[in-house]
Parts: sequence; C-alpha cells; structure tokens
Amino acid sequence: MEGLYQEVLAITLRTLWISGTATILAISWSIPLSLILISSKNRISIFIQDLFNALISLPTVVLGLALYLILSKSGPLGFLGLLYTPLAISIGQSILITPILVSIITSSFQKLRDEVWETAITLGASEFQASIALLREGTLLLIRAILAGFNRAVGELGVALIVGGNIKGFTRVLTTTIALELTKGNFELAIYLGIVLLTLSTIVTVAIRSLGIRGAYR
Amino acid sequence: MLTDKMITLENVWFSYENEHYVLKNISLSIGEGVTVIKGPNGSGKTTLLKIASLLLKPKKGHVIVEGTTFWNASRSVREKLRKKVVYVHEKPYLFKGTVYDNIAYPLKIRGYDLSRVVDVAKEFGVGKILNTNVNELSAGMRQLVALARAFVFKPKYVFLDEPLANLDDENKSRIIRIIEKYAKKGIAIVVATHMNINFRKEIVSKIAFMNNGVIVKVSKYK
Repeated sequence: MEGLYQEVLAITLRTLWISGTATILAISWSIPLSLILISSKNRISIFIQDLFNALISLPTVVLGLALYLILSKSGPLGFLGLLYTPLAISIGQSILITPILVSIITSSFQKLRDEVWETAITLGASEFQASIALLREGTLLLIRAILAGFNRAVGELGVALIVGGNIKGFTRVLTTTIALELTKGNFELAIYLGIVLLTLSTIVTVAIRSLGIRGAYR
Repeated sequence: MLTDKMITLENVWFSYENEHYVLKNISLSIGEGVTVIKGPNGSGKTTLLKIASLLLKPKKGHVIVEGTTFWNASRSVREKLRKKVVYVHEKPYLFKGTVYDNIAYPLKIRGYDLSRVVDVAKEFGVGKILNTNVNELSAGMRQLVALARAFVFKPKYVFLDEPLANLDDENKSRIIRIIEKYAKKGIAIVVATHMNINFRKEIVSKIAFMNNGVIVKVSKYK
C-alpha cells in the first residue's frame, strides 16, 4: 500500500512539474502577445484573436501527432532529441494552452484596457509604463487566465501520451497513468489517480471562481 | 494666429470603427485661459476632447501641438508632447491603491519629487483621505482625486470632461476656483460641459458651441 502511495505521489508531483513548466512557458509569450493584440485595434489583431479563439478546441491528439512528426528523429527538430522527454510534454502543453491564455487575457482585458491605458497614457506614461499599469490593474484577471490554462494542461491526455510516451518514472503523468491502468484492469490505482486529478482540478476551479468574485467586487 | 503655446485642430474629422462621422471638419485652437466647449449630450464634446488631448487619432485633418503635427511625429516626440497634456474623463478611472498612490502616479512615472502630493491633495479637498483605498470613495470624491492627479504634475494643457458632473455645490465652487487659479497661471484649460459654469469672464478665452459633431459658433473673449 505504501508503494502505491509513493507512486501516486511521484506521478502527481511529476504532473505538477510538467504542467507547471508548460504554463510558465505559455505565459512567457502569451502575455506579451496579448498586450500587443489589445493595444493594436486593427483588423489583423482581430483576425489573430479570432484564430486563437478557434484554436481553443484544437484536439490534443492532433497537436500531439503534429509535434510527434516534428520531434521524431526524421522530423525537422529531431536532432534536439526531445521526443519522449518531460520537456516535450511541457512544450506540447504550452502550445495547447496558449490559445486559452490569449483568448481569456484579450477578452477580459478589453474593457480594462480602454480605461487603464487611456488613464496611464494621459497621465504621461509611456506605452511600456501603460502596459505595466494594465498588468497591475488586471492581476486577478491574469491569475484566472493562468489557472484556467494550467487546469487544461494538467487534464490533457493526447500530447502527454504521444510525445511523452508514458515512460514509467520519467514521462508518466496522471492522465496517461489512468489510461494505462484502465487498459490493464487495475482499477484501484486508476481510481486513486482519478481522485487526485479531480481534486487538483477542483482546487484550481474554486480558485478561479473565488478570484472572479473578488474581481467583480473590486 | 499659431503660437508655440497652442494646440490647434485643423479640419478634423472622426468616426468610431466604420460608423458615421461624429466630428465633422472641426477647426479650433486652444491656448492660454479657459476654453469652454458647450453642447448637449452626444454632440461630440468628449470625442473632440480626446482628439485634442492626443488620445484619439483623427480620421482626417491634423492636430498641431506647439508647431508639431502630432500624428506625423516620431513615437519619442509624441511621448514628449503627451507629457504636457492631461485629460480627465467624466467618470475617471482610479488605479488600485490609495488616494496618495493615485495622485503620486504622474510624478512617479516622471521621476519627480513627491512632496507636492500632500499640498495638491489639500487644495482639492482630499488631503484628509490620502490613505483611503479608492474603492471606498464616492463618485464625487473620485472626481476630486482625478482632478488632483491631473494638476499635480503642472501640465500645460488640461482637458476636463464634465468636471462638475458628480460634485455637490461646495465642491463645484472649489473646482471652479481652482480652474480659474491655474488658468491665471498660464495653463490652457479646456472644459467640456452641457451645464452653465460661471467662470470669471477675464479667464475665459472662448466658448465653442457644438451640436451634432460640428462647432456651430465660437464666442471669443480674448
């Protein structure tokens, strides 16, 4: 039984590490991209926002397949040797959640942008300083977007399975383990892991909701 | 006559998105003293103020700031010119934090000394609430804080959109006195309003009457 707990703990920590890295990667380009899209109200930025909205529903297996072709030995980035590594999963998940982050940030910041941007600029801020003010004023909205992205990364299966390979003790995460244990008929472990995944997801969802309530009353 | 202490709008047209023009062929020069823009709601006063205060780019025409055609200038020149101008919205946005944080903001981003904050706050009647969180303020108090924040960095051009809208009689008189005081110091102040505001005649340089996106009449006093 102790061995089971240790295995569950190790898989959970690995999942948090891999999806956390994916979220940090996605944040690093999603926030600047979103700020650019928010600040330039032209047709191209509207088209890009629509594109990201559409990409939210991108099937994870399709993304996994595309990444597999790119990262496999004969693929254009095969020389990096990333296939079947935790980093490959993180990269895949970061791409998966980028549309979620960009869509949530751009839509929720739109109204705030008009008020904060205009105020900061007219008080003498440079565009960079106005961006900083916008991020500061929208901290809660930003955290909500990040948590939503993290939730999606933790719960996805396709990318982790295809580019991670579900290697025990290396790339095995909660979702891939559940899928594997189910096929083996090992329902006990699958249920344990399912509860852990559900708990993680619920914690993040409650956090998003409470931040939303705080945001609404600020 | 164009001077180097002036913002001039030349044949300005403006529309939001692809809608009809809300400003049509506006020409107006803004210099020292108080310029009043009067007109009913929806006449285009706010849009005119936002264009003159360099926040909106006109679809046609030019905005000339102290001899420089603003929207043709480089980004660095535009940022330099913008630092001389401030616009205060009818329902101003206050940043998260205290009254002090908000009034100090324009000084902080310029790297100026913050010692003026307390004096200006007192002048605008918000000296006793400097440590209050802005979420706890009434609409009238928010307006006073926004006005203090606008004047604290000694701008050359101040654009006030319905500055008395949320204020009681006492604070209306206070703001009128303050506007007159700063106008006498040489600051160009533009007030857009649908109300009758009784400024002292000697500080009013002109009153422009707007209707349906057009300046229908300008009464000059100086």
